[in-house]
Amino acid sequence: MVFSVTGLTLAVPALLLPFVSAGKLGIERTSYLFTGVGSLWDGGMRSLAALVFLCGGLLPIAFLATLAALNVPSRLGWRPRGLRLMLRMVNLLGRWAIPEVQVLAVLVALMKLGSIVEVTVGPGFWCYCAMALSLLVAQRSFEFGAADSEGAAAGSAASLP
Amino acid sequence: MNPGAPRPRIEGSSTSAALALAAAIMLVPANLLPVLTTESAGGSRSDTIFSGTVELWRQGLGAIAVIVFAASIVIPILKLAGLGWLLASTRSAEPGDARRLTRVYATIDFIGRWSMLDVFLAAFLAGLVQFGRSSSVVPRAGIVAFAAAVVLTVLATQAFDPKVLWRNPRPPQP
Repeated sequence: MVFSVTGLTLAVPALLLPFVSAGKLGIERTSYLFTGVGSLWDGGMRSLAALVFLCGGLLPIAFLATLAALNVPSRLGWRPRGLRLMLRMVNLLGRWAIPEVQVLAVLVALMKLGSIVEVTVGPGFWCYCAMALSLLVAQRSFEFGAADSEGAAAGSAASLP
Repeated sequence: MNPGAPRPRIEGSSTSAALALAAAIMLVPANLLPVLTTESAGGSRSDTIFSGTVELWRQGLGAIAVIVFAASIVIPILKLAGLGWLLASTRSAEPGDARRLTRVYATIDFIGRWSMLDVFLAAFLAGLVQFGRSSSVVPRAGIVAFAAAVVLTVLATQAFDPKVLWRNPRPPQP
């Protein structure tokens, strides 16, 4: 539970703070998490923009939110709602939420650009890295605890009228 | 085994085969068309996935080149080959193969995501490197074909039900 909530919290600065800045010949350009998505969209590659937006931004957040929604209510002693749907969503979103791949892509880009322009990594990127890590840990601990969760789900489903 | 048992979703494998075939076809333009055009003071150059990897190597970024080569060229081909092997095996597999083939499926399912590396890379570069004529990066049609190939491969993997590997291929004749 801790990691899904941590990941969700980190998503906010990851979205809002500068990701990477690059300077060349006195021109400074700062990119945010969705700057690339915007450029693709404006450049007419809308399907690609949508794919990057989904896999690198929206779905990781939806995945963390689903894990949090599965875990938090039971901690508070409430009965979680829509368990069956949420477990299906965890399965589906787990395949398409791939922030760790975007982290590697940014690292590769930084290495590639380092010799050409002056690049500075901003706090947004570090928050995004931490979010990606939280997501992996949350997913892993959810999968290892899945037997328990399924038992609990079966139990609560059985107790429903 | 019980020959009267309901056969698991066979139509699932044909969906998977169709998606895998579509992905294999998309890999052709993905590798032949340029994925990025880089404008710089020295002129402009367009790179395909392969020439981009070679360029990284030439810049002295050997490790990075290997990572990109693995994610963009080796993994997509291995994934489709593996999926093709699994799809072919659903007809002819011996019962003893099921465990091994299921492991192949799990591996394919796990490594597939890393192929998206090049897509994220193009998006990030297109967003950051915009300094007018002196230096800019423009994504090209190849990356769209590549993204389509990756998405189709993931969908093909998702459509494949590993349960069909555990089906008795030749039910005993009465």
